[in-house]
Amino acid sequence: MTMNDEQLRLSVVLRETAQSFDPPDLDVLCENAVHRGRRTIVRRRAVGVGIGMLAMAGVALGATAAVTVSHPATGLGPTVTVVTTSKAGLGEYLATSFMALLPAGIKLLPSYDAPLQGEGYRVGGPSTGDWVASASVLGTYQGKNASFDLELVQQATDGSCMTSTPSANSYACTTSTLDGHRLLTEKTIRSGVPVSWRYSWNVGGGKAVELTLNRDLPESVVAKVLTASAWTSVLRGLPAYVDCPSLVQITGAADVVWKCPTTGKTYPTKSNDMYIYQSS
Amino acid sequence: MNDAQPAADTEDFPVFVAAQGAQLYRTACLLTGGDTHLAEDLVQETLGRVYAKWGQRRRIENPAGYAQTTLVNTFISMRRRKSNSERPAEHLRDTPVDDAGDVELRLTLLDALRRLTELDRAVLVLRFWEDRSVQETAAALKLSSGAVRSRCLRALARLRELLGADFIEFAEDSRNQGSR
Repeated sequence: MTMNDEQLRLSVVLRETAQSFDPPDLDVLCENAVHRGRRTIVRRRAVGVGIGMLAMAGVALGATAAVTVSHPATGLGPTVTVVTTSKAGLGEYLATSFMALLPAGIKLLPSYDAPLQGEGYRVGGPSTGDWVASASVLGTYQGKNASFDLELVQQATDGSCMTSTPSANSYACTTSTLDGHRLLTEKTIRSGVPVSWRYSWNVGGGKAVELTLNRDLPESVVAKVLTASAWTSVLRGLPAYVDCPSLVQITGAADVVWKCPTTGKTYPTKSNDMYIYQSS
Repeated sequence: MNDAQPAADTEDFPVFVAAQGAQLYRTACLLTGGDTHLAEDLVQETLGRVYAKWGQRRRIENPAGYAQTTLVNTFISMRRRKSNSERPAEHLRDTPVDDAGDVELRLTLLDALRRLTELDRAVLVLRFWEDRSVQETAAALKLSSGAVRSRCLRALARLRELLGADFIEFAEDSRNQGSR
């Protein structure tokens, strides 16, 4: 069998397999999508603040913020996503604090295939606008892959739980508290199957810290990661490290100019291309 | 004015969803290796993003293509964000499949797809389910054409390794059924 034959047959197989999936109710799908879209628009129209992200061993990482800017011709407000690197102190602070949350048995894995990554861990991209900072660690624990996400997210304007999967309709918004912070989401259960353990704390200023632990982790590990004293330390120290961006990546905007509110430096961009600026 | 409304009217958005929703969902099912819950969530997230841009849709020459590209990019970013690293598929068969039935064979194919990296899976789905060219796939995934070709070859080799010679029979069976 030639390579072309094989590719042709793979195409057939994929079609057959895809057609075997019956789509959900499209009206409900549309309704939920519109809800998400509207929430995105609301978020985009809110001026965000860039916050530095995790850095480790001198590798500076990024933070994101949805920033409303003015179109030079129309005056309308298209949105750009700004990824910043912040001063090293923030990264070191977050890295140290975050690592302190992990059980001693965790062995970190080399990161792979992700932008803005550093040795031993990786960070998320700025694609959704749901969050303004994120750090993830890949590791192994008792022979299983383990992942840890720490996200600083922009809360919804209505104060609802900020989750990435509202369609699950199973996020439990509780009023539990940990370290004096309101616990927004306790865990994620989708159709009775735990997908991930997801915790969120309101840290004030319209932001929350979310922690996601993958389902492979035993509850004893989850309990260890949620050590109250460690979180107290992380949350108390976080606000002091908000900084102005030194690296700006602008995406998804057409013919706009973004002006850094702190430095006054401007960053032009055109037609949905991505531009990266490094401050001198 | 409600700040949550796009600039232009959105009355035709449900029409767009009705026309494209099923295709998007099926693509998502392939991308997620048959995780229908994740696929539905992925489509909702994608359509939510499309809706947010809907008021500017006059700038989008091909809304269906735009949505498909958004779907793939959303999938890749979601997987990164959730730190869903490549994990062993616990239920993958160790032996090549036999003629136990289409359902099992499809599940086996989906298991095999799950064993691929997200990008490799996306390349296969775009190339062989979406029928996109190498150049179009490269543009959608922000890769070079060479990278798409090499990933495609690698992913095919991996599928071949995982599914064995019965993959060919499976394909032929599927093709024959499709032509009936």
